[in-house]
Amino acid sequence: MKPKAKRGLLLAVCAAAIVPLAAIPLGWFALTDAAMVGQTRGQQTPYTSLVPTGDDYYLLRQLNTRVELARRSCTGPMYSTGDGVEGMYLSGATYSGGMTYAADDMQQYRDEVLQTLVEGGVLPQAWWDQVKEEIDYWAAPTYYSTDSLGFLRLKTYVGENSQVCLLNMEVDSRTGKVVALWISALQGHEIDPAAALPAWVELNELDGLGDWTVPTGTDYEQSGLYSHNGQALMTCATGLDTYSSSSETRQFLSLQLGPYTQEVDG
Amino acid sequence: MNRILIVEDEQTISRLIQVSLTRAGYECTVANDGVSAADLIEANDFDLALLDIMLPGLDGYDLLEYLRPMGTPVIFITAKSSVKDRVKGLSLGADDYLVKPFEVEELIARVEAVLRRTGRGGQTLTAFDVTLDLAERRVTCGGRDVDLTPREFALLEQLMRNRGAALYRDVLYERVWGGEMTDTRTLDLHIQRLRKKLNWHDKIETVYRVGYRLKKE
Amino acid sequence: MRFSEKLVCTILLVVVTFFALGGSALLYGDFRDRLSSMAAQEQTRHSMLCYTLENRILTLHRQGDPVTEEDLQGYVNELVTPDGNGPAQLAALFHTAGDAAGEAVYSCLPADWAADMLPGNGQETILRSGDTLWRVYCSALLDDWTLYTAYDLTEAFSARARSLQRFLLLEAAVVIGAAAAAAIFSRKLIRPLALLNRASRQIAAGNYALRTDVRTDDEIGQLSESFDSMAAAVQDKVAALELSVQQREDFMGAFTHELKTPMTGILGYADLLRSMQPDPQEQREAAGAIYHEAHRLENLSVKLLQLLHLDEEELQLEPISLDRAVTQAVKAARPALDQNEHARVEALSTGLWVQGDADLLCDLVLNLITNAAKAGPGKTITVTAQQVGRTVLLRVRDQGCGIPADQLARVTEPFYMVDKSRARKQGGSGLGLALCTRIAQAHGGTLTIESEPGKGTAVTVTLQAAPQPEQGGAR
Repeated sequence: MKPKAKRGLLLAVCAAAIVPLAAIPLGWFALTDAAMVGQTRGQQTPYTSLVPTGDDYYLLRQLNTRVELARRSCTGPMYSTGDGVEGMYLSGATYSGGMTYAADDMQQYRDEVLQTLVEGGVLPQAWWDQVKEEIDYWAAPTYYSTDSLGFLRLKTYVGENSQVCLLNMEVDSRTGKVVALWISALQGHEIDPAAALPAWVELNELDGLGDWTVPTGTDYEQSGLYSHNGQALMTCATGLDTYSSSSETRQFLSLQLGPYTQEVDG
Repeated sequence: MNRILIVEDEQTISRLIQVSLTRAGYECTVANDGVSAADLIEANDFDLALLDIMLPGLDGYDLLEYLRPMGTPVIFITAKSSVKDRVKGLSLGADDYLVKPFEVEELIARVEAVLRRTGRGGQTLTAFDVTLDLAERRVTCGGRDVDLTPREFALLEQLMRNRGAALYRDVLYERVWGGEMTDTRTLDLHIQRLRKKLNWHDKIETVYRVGYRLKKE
Repeated sequence: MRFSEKLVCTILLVVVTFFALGGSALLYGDFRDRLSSMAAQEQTRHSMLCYTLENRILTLHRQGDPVTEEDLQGYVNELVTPDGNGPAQLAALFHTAGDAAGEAVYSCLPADWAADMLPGNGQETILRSGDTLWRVYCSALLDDWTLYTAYDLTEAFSARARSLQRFLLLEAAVVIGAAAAAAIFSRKLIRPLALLNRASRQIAAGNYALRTDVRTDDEIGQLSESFDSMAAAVQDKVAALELSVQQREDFMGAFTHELKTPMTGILGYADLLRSMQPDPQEQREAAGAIYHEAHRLENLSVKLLQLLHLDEEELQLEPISLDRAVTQAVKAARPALDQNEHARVEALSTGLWVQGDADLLCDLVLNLITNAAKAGPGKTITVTAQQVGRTVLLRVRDQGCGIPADQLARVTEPFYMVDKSRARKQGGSGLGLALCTRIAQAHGGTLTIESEPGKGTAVTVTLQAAPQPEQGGAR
């Protein structure tokens, strides 16, 4: 190639090379931007969820308050907290003599609540069917009482002399959530605590606590779930019971939700 | 008679030229160096100068400057044979350039050519009552024209140039006819005719076992 | 391509590359910083939203009310709806467990974001929607809820674009400035090269006396120095060659002349004798001239052959008795001495020995004696020798006609004769002193001449001294 033409070519190449070199930033950014999209990293300061306590749950708070007020008012309904606050707690009667006779609407309410338990997978259908049958057979009377916190107690008796307490249920009247259930049925029923308890947690909307666990090393190992956050224990027990009054052996089911503090064994 | 100046520092060569030219009928003067040559030039008029270039004192080129205004023709004689030197010599104004070693014949021929060219020729050779006009190629004997063939003319010229010297037959033949002599008859015949035409029976001598000689005065 | 142009192009490309790289790094760094600070803010806002929502959930729990989708939906919407403060944020709320896992309760995220593109709990990712980039955060909340929030990153990009624009303008200015400056300075620096180039070309064209003479403190200066020394060497070589050629031409010229002249004489006279029979006087003259000239030729050829022989062969030197050589030379010179009115030689024996070749030394002394005899016929010639250190000085002195001062330097030149006619008459060739000088050189010594016209001449030869051999040694 003639020297002049070669020179012109080299100069042109040099000038042409300057442009892409000058545009290096553009290329750099294009590359880095493309790399940025879709890149997943851990957050710098990830959000830590709030840890709910028993206080955050209405039901548990109610139960805790009841325990507290019951203690305070053991000498009488009036109590004072020491800094001048005065309050009053009236507990609900627990024997039929002090309870009010439940009319149809209350009985219907009882049935609805129990139905909810069945549908929620807590109470096996068989139990309820059998219990319902007995109630209908005996036209079992139902009594109820409430305490000043709003806990509703329902008791249903069966038997010739209404001596067998077929059902003893405590319900939070505001939310309709069951905190305790006693059913005495004829023998031959089964219940699996491992299935019933979680279902009951969910039904009571306490699953938010997030730490319902089997309390190993305690008496409730087989029959309970404990939440450390909520400081609450739910139990599901079944067994045989003999009524002296009827010399009948019946099977009971006991579902219990209450405050509980487990000592941490290290 | 033409007067020739010979300027040559080598005695052998100057002597040789002098002898040859004198025999050919020229009057020669010899100078052995540039300075004496210059003196001679000043004092005399020459018809031709033979100059050696490499001389002590003034060299041949300088002498040329001397001679040119006088119009004297110059022949350079020298051992410098390169074209450059020849060209230099000739372009400076020399009339001819002769390179050593040379043959005497050639020297004489060139001298005559230059003399003829510069008009100083009209070289005539004279012996006794015969005059040879080389320019006109005419021979006169006692005033009368003599008719000679070219060969006879050439032969007569040779004899007259080398007066007093006995010329060898084969040399005579070579110079007049050219080539080698095959028999002597041609030559002898021509000599006979010359003797008759010029009435030089006693002037052209036969030299035993050599050749012929033209008597000196 | 011219060197200054190459230089400028190289500098420009280097400057542009590094400037662009540096600028890229700088702009990129700023961009990352901005993104980081934006991330801090986004993180805060995301955490705020999470906290607010969890509080809402707990509030509901506290109140014992059910946590409904509608409730949360309305809540999130209220929180997220742009109210004109700060950059927009998008959010989505998903169930992560239960029957409705993966379903969105609320979402104003772009529709083209698939679920697998979204980050996991505690992670963030950057997604594109249309022309804008969003950073998406994800956190798991109480009750198996998952909240995603997305923040518009456009601000960082637009700021970067502005910076980039400014940078590119600056870069253009830098390129032009650098090109101009480089052109000016490179031309200045290259100038010595151009000077060097010009001078070199002139020198190469034949002007060997010229020098490039570029005195800078760098490689160009060194190059100039080297080139100049090369030019000097060439100049010397050329001069030496020219001298050598000249000397050869002179020698050949003189030799030719010396050869042709006797030849002319010989040929001329021989021709004369061949063609005619001149008178006896002339005949004798011719024959004599031929004889003389032929002798001259013979003398010339002998000396010439000696000279050439010396040039060709390496001389073998051995210890020689100087006295012996001198004696032999004197003996050989007898004819020449006699011819020159019986000149006499006085040679003192010195007992010195020298490194040399016997025959050549004899020739040397013979030549010097012969010259001395010819210069001063009938006079006395003295031959002396003395030792000075490791050299021996041999001196031949005569009382002859001497050599004029202006010709003294030339007498040792081949064929040079001071008085040609005398020399020729005596059969000289002009090679005698040249031969002697050459012999002296071959012996590793020198030959010097001192002379006073009219008084005499002294020729001094230096020779290497040799240790005297033991008694009964050779030669």
